[in-house]
Amino acid sequence: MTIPKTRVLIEYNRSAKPVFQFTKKNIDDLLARNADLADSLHFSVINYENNDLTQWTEQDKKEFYDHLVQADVLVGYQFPTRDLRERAPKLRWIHFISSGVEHKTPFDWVPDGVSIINNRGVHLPKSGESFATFLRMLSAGVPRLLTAQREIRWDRLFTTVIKGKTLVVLGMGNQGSEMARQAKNMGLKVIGIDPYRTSCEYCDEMVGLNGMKDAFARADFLGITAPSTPESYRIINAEKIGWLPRHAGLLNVSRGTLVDEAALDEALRKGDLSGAILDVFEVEPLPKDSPLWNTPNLVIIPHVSSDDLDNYIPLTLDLTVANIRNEMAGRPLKNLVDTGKGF
Amino acid sequence: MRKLHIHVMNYRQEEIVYQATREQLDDMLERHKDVADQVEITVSSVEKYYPVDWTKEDLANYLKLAEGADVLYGYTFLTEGIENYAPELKWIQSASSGVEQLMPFDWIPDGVTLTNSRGIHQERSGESFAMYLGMLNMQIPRLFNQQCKGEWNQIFTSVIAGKTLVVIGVGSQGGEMARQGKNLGMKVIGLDPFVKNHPYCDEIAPFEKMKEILTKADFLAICAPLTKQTYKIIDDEQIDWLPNHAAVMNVARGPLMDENALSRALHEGRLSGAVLDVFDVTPLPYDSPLWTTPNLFISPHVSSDDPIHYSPLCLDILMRNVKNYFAGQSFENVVDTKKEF
Repeated sequence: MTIPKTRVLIEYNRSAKPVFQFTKKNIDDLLARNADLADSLHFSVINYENNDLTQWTEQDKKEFYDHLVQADVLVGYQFPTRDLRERAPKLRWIHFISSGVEHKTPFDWVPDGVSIINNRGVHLPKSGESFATFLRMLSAGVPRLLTAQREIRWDRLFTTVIKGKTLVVLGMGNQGSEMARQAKNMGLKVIGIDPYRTSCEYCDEMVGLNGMKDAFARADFLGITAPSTPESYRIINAEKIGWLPRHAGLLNVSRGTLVDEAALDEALRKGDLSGAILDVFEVEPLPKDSPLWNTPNLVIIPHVSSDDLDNYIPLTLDLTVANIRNEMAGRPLKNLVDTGKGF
Repeated sequence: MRKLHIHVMNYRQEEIVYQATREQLDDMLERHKDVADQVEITVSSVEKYYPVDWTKEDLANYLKLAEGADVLYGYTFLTEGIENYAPELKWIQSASSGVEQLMPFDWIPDGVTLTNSRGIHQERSGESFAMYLGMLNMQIPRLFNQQCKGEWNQIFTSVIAGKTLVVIGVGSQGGEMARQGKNLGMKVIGLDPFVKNHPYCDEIAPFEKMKEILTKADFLAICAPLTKQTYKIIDDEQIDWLPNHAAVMNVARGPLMDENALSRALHEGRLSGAVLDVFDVTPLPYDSPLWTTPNLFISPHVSSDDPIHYSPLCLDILMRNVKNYFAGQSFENVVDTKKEF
C-alpha cells in the first residue's frame, strides 16, 4: 500500500531579507532530519514579488495557483484568498510563518475544514536572548547613555542590579511567558496581565486587564507582548503611560499598534519615563520623518529581536513537520489560531 | 585596650557612589557589631587624587586625623613620610580593584600589606557583561548608528549560544565574564599568564598563544589588570588577528587597548562592534575621535560600581580583614606588589 504523499507548498517573499527566505538547503536539511518521513513528503517552494498583493506579477499568481491546487499544506505569509476552496480543494491547513496573523484578519475567507497555524514559539530562543538584553539595557539606563553618546556628553549614570526589580508583562502568550521566564532567571519579580490566562509558571502574580492600573504603578519595567487585535489597538496611551512610575522603562516587542507612539514620544521628552526600547512600530519601516528617530532615551530596534538569522526557517519547517506528524498520529495540530479571536 | 585606628578617606570630586558616607560607616559597624567597639574610625576628605588636588587645609586635616592610623582605606594616599605620620600602619585597603594608581609600590613601608577591593563588583558587573554580550551579538552599536542617521536597516542575527568568547585575564572580573558567557551557552576561552584552569572556561591559554586563540573569537573581552605586561596588549596587530565579524569589549582599564587602533578598525569595518566602559582618559575628552567612531557603544565607566552596594561591599572587606587581623589570620584580597594586582 502506498501512503499518499503530503504535499507542502511553501511560498516566500523574494524581496524579503534572507532570514525569511527558504532555500533548497533548508529543505534538504529538513528531510535529512526527518529521514523516516522522506518518502511521504513532497515540498514545492515558490516565491513572489512582494507582500503587497497588488505587486504580484501574472507569473507569481499563475505559479501560486498551479501549485495550490495540489497542496495539502500551505506555508507562507501573504497570498490571495479569493475562492480558496475552489483553488485549493485538498488544503487542510495554512501555516503562517509569523506569530501575528492580523494581516489576514478577519478570517472570513478561511474555508471550512482548513485550520490556521501560526509560528508562535519558533521565535523563543532568539527572542528570549533579546528580551534579557533589553531588560538589562533598560535597567542600566542604556537608552539614556546612548542619547548622551549621541550628544557627545559624558553622563556617568550609575545603576544598581536588576535583581529584585519588578517587571509587568502585558500579554502572557508565548513571547510574554518567555519574557517572564527570562526575568525570573535574572531575579525579577514578575506581574503578568492577560484577559484570558489566569496562571503563568514564571509570574509571581497574574491579573486581568482591570488590574492594569495597580500593576503599572508597581512596575520598574513594562514589557508589551500582547497580540495586535482591535481591542489592543493603542492600548498603551497617554493615560496608561501616566500610571507608570517616572523611573520605569518601557519595552514593546509585539506589534507597534499597541502603543500610541506620539504619547510615548511626549512622555520620554518630558522625562515621565526613564527610557524605552521599541522593536516594533505602527508603520514599518519607521518613516524617515517619524519624530521617534530623535526621541531622547529611546532605542529603536528595526524589528529584529525575534527572527533568528540562522535558525528561523529551520525551526519553522520543524513546526510544519511536527504538525504533519501530529496529523498522522491523530493528535491535534500545534499552534492553532482561534480564528474568532485572531491569534 | 587601644582600639584599632582605621582612617577612611573620601574624595569630594568623585561620584557619590565612591564615597564612604557617615551612614554607610554606621551601617558597617552595625553589620560587624562583634568588633565595633574594638575599632576607632576617623574620616577625612580631599578634593581628588594625591598629590595634585590636595589643598593645604586638606593635608593638615588628614595628617591630624590619620596620625597613628593602623589602617588606611581610600583610593590614593600621601605617600611621603608615611612611616612617620602612620608609624603603626598595618595595612592599606584600596577602595578599588585596580591598584595602578598606587604604583610603583616603593612607598609602602616594609611589613605593610596592601589589599584591594576585587571581588565585590561581580553581581553588578556580571549583569553588565551579559548585557554587553547580548548587545554586541544583536549589533546594537550598529543599530544605534543607524538610529542616529534615521536609517531603517534590518540586521538579523542568530542566537549567541554556541558562539565563542575569549577573555583576556581570568581574575575576578574575567571569571565573572566567563561565567556569564557560559550561562549564555557560549564556548569560553581564557588567556591568562598565571591561571591554568577555571570552572567557567573551556580552555585557558597563555599570552604566547594569543594569535591562535584570537582567530577563533566571536567576542573578545578585556578583563586583565593594567600592568607593564598588559599595557596596550590589544593593538593593531592583535585586532588584525580577530575575525572581521568579531566584537570587542574593554571593561578593565583603558590603556590595555590602543584606542586609536580600535577606532581605525571600526572605521574600516574590520570588527562588527565594540563596547568600551574604560578609556585612556576619563571623562572621555570632548574631542576624542571615539565619540564619532562607528559601531561603538561608549559606556561612561559604569559597568561595575553599584550605587547602593559598592561602598558597603568594600567596607565589608575592610571589616573582614579587621577580624582576620584580630584572629591572627591572613588577610583576604592581598595585592602581590610584584605582580602589581
